[in-house]
Amino acid sequence: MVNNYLMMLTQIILKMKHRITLFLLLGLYGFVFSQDQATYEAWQDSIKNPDYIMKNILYLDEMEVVENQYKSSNPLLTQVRKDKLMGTDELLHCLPGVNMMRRGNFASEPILRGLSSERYVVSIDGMRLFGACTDKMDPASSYIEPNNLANLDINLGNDDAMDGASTGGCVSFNLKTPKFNANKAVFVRIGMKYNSVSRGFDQLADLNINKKNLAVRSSFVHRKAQNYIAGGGSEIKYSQFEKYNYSFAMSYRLPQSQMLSFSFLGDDANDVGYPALPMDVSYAKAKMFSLSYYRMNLGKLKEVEIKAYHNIVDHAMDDTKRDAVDVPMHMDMPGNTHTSGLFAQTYLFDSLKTKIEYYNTFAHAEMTMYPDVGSPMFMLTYPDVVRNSTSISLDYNRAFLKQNLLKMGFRYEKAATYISSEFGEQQLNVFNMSGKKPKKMNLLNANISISRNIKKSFKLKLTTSYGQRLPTTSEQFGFYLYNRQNGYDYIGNPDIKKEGAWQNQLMAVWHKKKLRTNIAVFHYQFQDYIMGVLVPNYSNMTIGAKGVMFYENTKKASLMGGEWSLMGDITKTTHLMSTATYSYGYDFENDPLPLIPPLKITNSISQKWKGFIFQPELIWSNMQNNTSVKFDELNTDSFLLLNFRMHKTFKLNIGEMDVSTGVENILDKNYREHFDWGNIPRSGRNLFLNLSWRIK
Amino acid sequence: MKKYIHTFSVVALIFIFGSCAEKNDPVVEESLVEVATGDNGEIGVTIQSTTELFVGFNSLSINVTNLTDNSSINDATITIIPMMHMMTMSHTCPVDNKTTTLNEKGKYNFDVVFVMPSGDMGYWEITFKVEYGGKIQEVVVPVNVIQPEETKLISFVSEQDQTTKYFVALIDPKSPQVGENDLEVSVYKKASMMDWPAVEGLSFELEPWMTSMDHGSPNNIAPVEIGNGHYKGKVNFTMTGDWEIRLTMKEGNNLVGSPVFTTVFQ
Repeated sequence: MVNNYLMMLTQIILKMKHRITLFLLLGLYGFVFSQDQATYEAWQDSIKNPDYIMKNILYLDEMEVVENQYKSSNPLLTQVRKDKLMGTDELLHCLPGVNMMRRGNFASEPILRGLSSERYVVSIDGMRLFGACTDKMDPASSYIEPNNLANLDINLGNDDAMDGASTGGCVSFNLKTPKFNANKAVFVRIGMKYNSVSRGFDQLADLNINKKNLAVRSSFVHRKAQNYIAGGGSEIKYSQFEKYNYSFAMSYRLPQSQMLSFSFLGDDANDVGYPALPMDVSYAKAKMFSLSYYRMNLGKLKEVEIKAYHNIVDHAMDDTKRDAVDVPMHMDMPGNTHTSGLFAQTYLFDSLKTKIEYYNTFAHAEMTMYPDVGSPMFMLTYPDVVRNSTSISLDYNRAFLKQNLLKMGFRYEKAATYISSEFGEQQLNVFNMSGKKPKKMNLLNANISISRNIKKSFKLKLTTSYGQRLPTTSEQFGFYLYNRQNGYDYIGNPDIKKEGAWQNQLMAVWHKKKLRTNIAVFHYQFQDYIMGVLVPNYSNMTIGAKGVMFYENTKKASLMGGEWSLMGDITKTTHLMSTATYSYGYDFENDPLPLIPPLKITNSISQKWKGFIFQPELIWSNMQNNTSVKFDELNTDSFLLLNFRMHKTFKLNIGEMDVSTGVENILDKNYREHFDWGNIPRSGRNLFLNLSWRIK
Repeated sequence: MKKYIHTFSVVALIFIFGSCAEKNDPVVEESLVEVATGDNGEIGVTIQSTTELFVGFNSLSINVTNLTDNSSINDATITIIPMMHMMTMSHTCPVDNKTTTLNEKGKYNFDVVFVMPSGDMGYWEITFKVEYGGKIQEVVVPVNVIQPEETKLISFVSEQDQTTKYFVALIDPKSPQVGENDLEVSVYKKASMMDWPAVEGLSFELEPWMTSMDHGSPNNIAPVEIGNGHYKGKVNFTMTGDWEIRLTMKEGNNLVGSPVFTTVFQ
């Protein structure tokens, strides 16, 4: 975990960007040095050979990081790649300012500085993907496995709107593409991992083949976990899951530095338990297809990329595995989304990045309830919602006055949302509202930032931005969606307005010799902040719900806080890393915002010894008593966690074997994070072992 | 290369727009069916309605024919008396308009509220008094009245005097659907076997209720008087299933009764 922080920080310092790019390797869960070396060499090769195509749009960052990380030759950076056999959840969780909201042991939802998925954009190689579950059981990140990731960009705040309009930032997953490497035609990796706490067993296989102008990559992951054991020894029922993830990608190089790529990614999760919810998931499936065209130079245009994509998410909830006592009424709740899009992006005049984007998304979700006595009851919870969006984004970077950098971004989006189901329209008539006629919104996002080197070892960056976002499907057209966290039914508001946010961020980076520290403070001021407001005289639909909330634009909300980190080599073989994150927010009535993470501090030391790396880690989280009254939020206790991990690479005749092992939550602490759904504690003591073998 | 891009874009656009389509369900107007006929040798009477006659509020469309030349009689004034014949007695039932002439649709229309079904207890007859060309003819038409699957008429004894019998007929919604529905009821009381006047001046409270889940629905409009003992409002159903339309009927501040209609729809 710490290693990820470290890696991120290195990059922040090197790039002077408030953007966290986490580089992952070609192998699963990003961890093998030698493979990385091969990739790097391939890139070196690419640069020299004009026939090789570079997808610099994505790879520039990646290359930069690779290069810098190599130069730093930091043992921890190597270790992070070798050591972690992580899921996307674990991976995201490592980043300061990012927390993972859990509803079970699967598909956690990232929270950026206390803001959940309504307020940030999720993009997968620039593609939009929308979860199909009305209870947010399937955030887009749950359909991605880290072994398919080339890198992961997280924007905390809306200082970069190239991937979408938001008021809280962006999570961009950049998928791996097939690699061209003249020296190595075939690359194979297999790996496996065992977690004692859930008796979970994961396997993976990766294959990359290239010949002349054609490269193919394929990957496969299988994960299966039983119920996990919380701290103290109690088993968390309904926390099992199983999933398959598989991908196939193909790139073909054409003359004049052009390339055509096809990519397919599939993810099938089955029998997923959600202990924090009244229901589980029988299946959650995603299929993503994309076709891309790249060209290095086209007159004044550089790095032209055009991509068309389509994705389908299919999801069904399931209450048949639960005890009859806990299921007042059996329900079927399937849902699906279909998203298609097309975008073109390029650099104009080298420093002006331009993107034109269109997407269309459709969301359908329904609920049929079967009472013991009486007829089945049916309602559309997402009444066939259609959204069309067209946008143009610009991003301009310019150095001025020696070592100062100016960055300006602008995005304009036109979107229209309507419901295409007559039944859904009838449902809305109950509230004297209509959704047949498209609800049009124009969104504006703009940002400006200045980075300045005050001294050689001290840098400052100031960012001011304004962002707007569309309401989510749930916020605009959701129909009696039950929120288990606070126990209210939520009704969407077709006439809801867009939400806006002014954001100011100041970041200071100081580094001397081998010690580096970074501090960022931020303030977000929301306008027309969208939240559920209690409607006193409406009767709840869900059995046992406390009442009905209706989404409204509340006047304002504020969020502020910061992240701090310190890292560096204490001795030649010892590395230290500390981070602290804090945020605080309140709504229009000065009531604290819900789901805000309290102060959290992590400390870790990495010690090299005879080819081994040992890494103890201490995590402390403060209690959270600033809870939202409107959300009926519970207080959360403070907790202290202790982890220990170690790693070693063995060179064998048949390839290289990476072995990582360790114990997490050594004290077997029974704890929950403040934003976790329900009152479900997280995993207790866990012993893990992972092996990864790169075949020679 | 431009060709590539062009082709690619076109393919992509087809890809994108191909998947969205809209559909509209056509609205079918309910047609009339013949439910009974009768004649007296000189004139014939045909009764039409949208469904079989049932216990509750029925709109009857009447055609009158001159049997001598099979021509329609359009200039008559018709009075009707529905009558239930039982073993020991007979009684009539509420009729909104006992006397009528031809309406603009070319029909004679009567709104009749049958208060019990035909069967072992007794049978229904409607006596038509047709006045035209200066004379009055009488035609008696036997009709069959069924008990509908869902109760459309509720009777109860007034909470006020514990003796007066009230009848509440549910006119709308006829085929309820999810969303907003018109709600119309008419109210009558039994003054005597032969006198069933409409009751005016009542006030209503309304609460639709889903019994299997114990919840209601928002934004309903309780029925208000529109004249002739009819009361109109709006009822909302948020989902399909078993619903109750719970009404509370008051005269001034005094409770008269609490009729509950149940309805099931898919």
